[in-house]
Amino acid sequence: MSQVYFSPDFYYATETVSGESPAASPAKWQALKIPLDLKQPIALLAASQLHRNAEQGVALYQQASAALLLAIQEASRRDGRYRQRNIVTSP
Amino acid sequence: MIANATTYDEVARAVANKLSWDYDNLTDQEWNLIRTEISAAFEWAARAYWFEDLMAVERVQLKASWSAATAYAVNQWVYHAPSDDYYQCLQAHTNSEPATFDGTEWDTNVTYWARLWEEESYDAGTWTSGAAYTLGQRVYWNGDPYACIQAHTSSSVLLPTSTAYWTALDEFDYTLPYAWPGRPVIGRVRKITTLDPRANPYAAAFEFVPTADGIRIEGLTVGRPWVWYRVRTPELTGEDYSATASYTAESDAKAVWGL
Repeated sequence: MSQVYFSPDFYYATETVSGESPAASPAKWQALKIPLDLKQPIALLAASQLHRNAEQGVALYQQASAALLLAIQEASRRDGRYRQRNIVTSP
Repeated sequence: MIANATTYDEVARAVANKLSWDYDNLTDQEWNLIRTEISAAFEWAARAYWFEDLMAVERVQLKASWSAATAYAVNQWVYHAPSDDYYQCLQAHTNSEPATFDGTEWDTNVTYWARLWEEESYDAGTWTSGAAYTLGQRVYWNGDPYACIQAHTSSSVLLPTSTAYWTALDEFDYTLPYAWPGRPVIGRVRKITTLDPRANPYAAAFEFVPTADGIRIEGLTVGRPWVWYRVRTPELTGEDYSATASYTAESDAKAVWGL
């Protein structure tokens, strides 16, 4: 058993630990952080799967797909900028 | 580290709001449903693109490093950092360094080791009768590799099956395991290159094939290639923290986001 929920995150134990919470001994735990860009797509997709109204579930799924596309575009834009910084040209 | 991160609670609260559920008074069933679906959505979103926050770059080696303290058995492969090469043990021993530097190049210790990629010791071609073989030379006979452990001239009765002169060898396995102590578990590989792909976007890349045991690298020409990969997406399976429980680190404890 190595993963726990300890609000506000899930954590993995990185060594054997007993009686020391992630707040008390942060060096012994690693938080499962979620990229902010993915918050909306993940929340919308999860909600779409749980919605009792089928039509609204489909609408949420479409919103999740659109939000994921936006996140990809943003990440791709940043990725492109990063690559441009690393292009070496001869003088 | 993830540059801009949110917490699980914030995502779970957003899910509850979309469903018009009271996040502060969720039933156990609702809590478990939300956790299960967020876990699945993690996987879905993470697979959609090479999000930089979910990637890792590591310079890897395919075998354990040679150590003077380790007893090596025939056929064992090691990575020798000073010469940046792989060597295969020809005779059981302890504390014989695979290679020494003569000021110009690395000389293989052919009494005990055969070097990968070294023509004389790694691949001397197909065994033939009447040929003079030297210590450490490697041949193929009936499709299987053998290493010479005593210099001799071959004959129809001195075949590679003669254990006084030859040792049967295993081929080098070019498979990079998905899990390795001290590094995150590999989810999906983007690139395997000769140089750090972040600083050298046009570095030479190797072909690779995912297998059940790991990533098999094709045509490897460097000792420690750079692997740019997506870290395996974690599943949210943990129970509430308990002060009386004991928790242990698992081998894939680093298979998480937020490295």
